[in-house]
Amino acid sequence: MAGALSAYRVLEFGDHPAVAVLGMLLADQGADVVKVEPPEGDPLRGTPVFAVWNRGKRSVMAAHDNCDLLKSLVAGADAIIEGSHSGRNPHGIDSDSAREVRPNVIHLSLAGFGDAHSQASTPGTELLISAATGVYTDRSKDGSEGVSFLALPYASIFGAMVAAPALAAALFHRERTGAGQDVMVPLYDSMFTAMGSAVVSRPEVEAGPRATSPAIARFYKCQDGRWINLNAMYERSLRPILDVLGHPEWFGPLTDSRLYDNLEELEEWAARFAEPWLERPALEWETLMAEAGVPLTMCRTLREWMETDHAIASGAVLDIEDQEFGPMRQVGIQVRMSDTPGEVSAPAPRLGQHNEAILAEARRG
Amino acid sequence: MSGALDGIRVLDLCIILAGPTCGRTLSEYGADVIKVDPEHRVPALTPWLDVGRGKRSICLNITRDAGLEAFYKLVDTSDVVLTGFRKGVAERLGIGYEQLSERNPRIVYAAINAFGQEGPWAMRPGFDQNAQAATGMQLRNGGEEGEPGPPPYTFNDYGTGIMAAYGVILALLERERTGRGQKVDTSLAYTASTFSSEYMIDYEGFESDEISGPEAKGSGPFSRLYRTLDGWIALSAERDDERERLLQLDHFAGISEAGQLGQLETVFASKSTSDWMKLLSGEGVPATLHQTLRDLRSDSHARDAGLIVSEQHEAFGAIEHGGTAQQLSQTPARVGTSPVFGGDTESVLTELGYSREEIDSMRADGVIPQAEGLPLS
Repeated sequence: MAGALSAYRVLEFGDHPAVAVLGMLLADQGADVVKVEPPEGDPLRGTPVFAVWNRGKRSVMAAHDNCDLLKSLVAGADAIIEGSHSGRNPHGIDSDSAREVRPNVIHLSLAGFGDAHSQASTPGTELLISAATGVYTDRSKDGSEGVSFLALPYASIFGAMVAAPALAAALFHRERTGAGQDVMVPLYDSMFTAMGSAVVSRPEVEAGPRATSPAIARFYKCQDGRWINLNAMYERSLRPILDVLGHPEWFGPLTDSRLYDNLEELEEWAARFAEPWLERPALEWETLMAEAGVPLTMCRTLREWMETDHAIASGAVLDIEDQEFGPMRQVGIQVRMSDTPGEVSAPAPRLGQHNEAILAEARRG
Repeated sequence: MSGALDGIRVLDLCIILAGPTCGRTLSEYGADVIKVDPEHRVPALTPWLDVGRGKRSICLNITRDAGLEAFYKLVDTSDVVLTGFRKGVAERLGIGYEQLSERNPRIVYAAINAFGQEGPWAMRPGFDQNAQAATGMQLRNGGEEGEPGPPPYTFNDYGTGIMAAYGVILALLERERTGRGQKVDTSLAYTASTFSSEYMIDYEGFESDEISGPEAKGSGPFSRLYRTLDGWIALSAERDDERERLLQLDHFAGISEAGQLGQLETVFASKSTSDWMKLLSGEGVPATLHQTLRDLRSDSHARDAGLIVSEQHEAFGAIEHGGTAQQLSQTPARVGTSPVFGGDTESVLTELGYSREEIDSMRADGVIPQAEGLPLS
């Protein structure tokens, strides 16, 4: 069974990681994603992450002034996705010029700050979008760092995620009406979707003190020095936690709502609650609490996660044969479809690997 | 102009953030989304004002025969069902994919949970923080010695809901051709893996260079946050030409391409952030301010671009919430408002053909609440 997007060809332009990730999300669901690269190739070529974010795509190498080739590519495309460090399509194809060749094409642009922002012409790099939108807020305990960098490229990947259903919706609309359209997803704007409920406020209502149970969203250190994350959002989880911890008598005091008005006493309870975890190693707590149906997870490293039976059995990781790095383990398919399962149909392409094949297809019409 | 998903009806049984974000996203594209909750499971107001937007809300106890019957009638008239259960729970309730698909083969069914539908952890309960804990996100934030911690925003919850919406729309697209729905499965752990994809790599000879800890300031001397005289500036001179333009400035005389971090720190500390911004933007060196959410609240662009929206809500008073990021020229995204909890129960049942007497009897039996519209926690 073919992927849900197997009927569609998508041209991918630009060197921003966000557009590569969007292309991967589309290719994983069967789209024929053609990565159009300048003669010098994508700047990430040669790095391991290139092999991940470009898997399942075809590569066409095209000089920016190779109008015939570019025109024939656009003529066969259902959608064009673009996202560039410079903010401009390196091959000079905008939605108007694309529509002259292919009237019902969908043109999706992943901008950085977006046209209306005062920094519209500044490259929308991961670092700049994140810095401008509060991602690097100080995470130190005592607030002494001022700012804290995050390694994961959240802004670029989140922008790609926001763009994926936008493109799918535009394809759905085209399927029903025949009409293409322009889609714009500035990475800066997407960050406000990620902020989400942090943006919500009621200006007329005083925010009260936010005291929560020591069983909700807490980290506890265990016997082996490893940490667990406990996240018992529902009171019904508290009883099994306390049973496994060996302190069923704490249920009454911890569910007494008056406790949450008395911050000093709550702090004493939090300190008491932290002690029993030191009696067993973290993984043992995870196993015991999982049996009791409690949302408790050992804090693992990414390496450890990749090696869990679960990551392998659930397909959170998958193995491919990359043309450059050989046998390679990578992230799995994000969205699983029962009737049109996605797949990684091929490793990341070599630069210009598909020029001939795609030209031959164009000649055939 | 209408939305891309006009005419699509969605039943949303999800809770907290990830699942409801899927329904909210589908509503932004024009779908008619009905949130279905049991009366006793009262959502918190703050997330409701974010991920409840654009939906209608009904309270229905589907563990009672009459409640399940009403839900099945809704399924018969709907296109999509969104669920957020551990593996096996929906089937126990009589609302698994196979059960609903038998009634309505066109139904698209999303299953959104912590660890997915396959593998040894499929039965484990979990929320976003659990998925982050499992996948390395929190240890990385804490660093070598520190207590683990989540990132500042709940990227993973929202990302999961949005990815589920992607799967649902793909299934609707496929249904245009086949006439059949299908099941879409995604999880918080899969999303955390996608966010980690740059480092979630292994091959012979691979060496990971993940940066961790709250003390980290960037990935290199030219891609980094620097302290200035009065605050911070983010420098992102990642291309050769950008670095050259930076280093040709008098202030940086004698600093090599390789970048001496200490020297750069000293130079950046000598001027105010606004002076640096003027200087660097004049030279075409990519840089920006470090801003917090508090700064963004008073940022006029965020308001003008509809990224932060002020609203006078008839039930909740003056509120502020986010807008939408995606701009579609022919099928513009819709910013909806949040419903009152359970406030549409009677009208939705009436649409389904229930009579006054039947609704009253469901009320009397506790299948739907006594009152229309309930307070949130």
